[in-house]
Amino acid sequence: MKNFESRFNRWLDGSLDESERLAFEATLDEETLLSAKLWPSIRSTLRQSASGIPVPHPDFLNAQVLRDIARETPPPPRDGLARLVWSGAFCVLAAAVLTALFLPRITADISTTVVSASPASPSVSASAFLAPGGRSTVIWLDGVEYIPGAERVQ
Amino acid sequence: MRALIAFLLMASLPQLPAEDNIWAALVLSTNENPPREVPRKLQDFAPAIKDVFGYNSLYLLGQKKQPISAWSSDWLVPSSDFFFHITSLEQEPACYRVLIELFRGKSLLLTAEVRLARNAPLFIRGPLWGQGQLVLLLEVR
Repeated sequence: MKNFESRFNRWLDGSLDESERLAFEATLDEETLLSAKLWPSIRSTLRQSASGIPVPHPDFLNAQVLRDIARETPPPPRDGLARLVWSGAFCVLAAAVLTALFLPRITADISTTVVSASPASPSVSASAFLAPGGRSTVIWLDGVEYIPGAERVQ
Repeated sequence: MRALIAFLLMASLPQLPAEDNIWAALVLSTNENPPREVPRKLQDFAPAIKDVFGYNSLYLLGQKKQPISAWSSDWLVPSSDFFFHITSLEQEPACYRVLIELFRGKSLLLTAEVRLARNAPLFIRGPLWGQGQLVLLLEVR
């Protein structure tokens, strides 16, 4: 079929050589041959006639055609927009729920940390460590002056 | 629909506490037989004090609570003998980065930069006193 179309097109274009043209025309029935032979002249006549027809108020006609096309074109489905909005709302809600569930847990797991500790007195040393349990942190001062029990602390 | 989306956006923001407070306490810890009943305000801290310092009885000598916010600087005086000067350097989602200065009377004992997390106390081992140990507590709550 494709071969036929190819040869038919070449036949219409007149690009077949003489022997090919005769062989191809022998495969065509009389009616097809006649209409095909007439087609180039019909096409040429139509083009000449159409280009010569003056169109009154071309802008108005153009607007009318565009309006008719718009009227006949089905509007985009509104379901798509609604689905998009609801999907967005669902994502935000999911983010809110996950945040509410996990943020307290994340913040609850953070322990106090000592960045630096410097005693004012050179006779005092300081060290820091995490207490057993992992939540409490200790700054351990060594060498701070002992306070006798008789001295009142308040 | 817009109201719903606005509500959902607001709900999705991290929930920050309206106001944080910093609490300081001066505690005397001793070993007694039988152990003394733990003061109500120290019940959450008693296990850690026992584990870390090895004392079974606690006395709350003084305490003070006041608001804390980013870039604030204030005195925190749980007792007239031991007190803090707290400078809040930065507020993070779960903690405050603070500069702590611990004073005994007019003498500066310690300067420390600490990231104080909420409900995660800081214990400072103070001087020995009589048969016990002074412990200073700091907590953001």
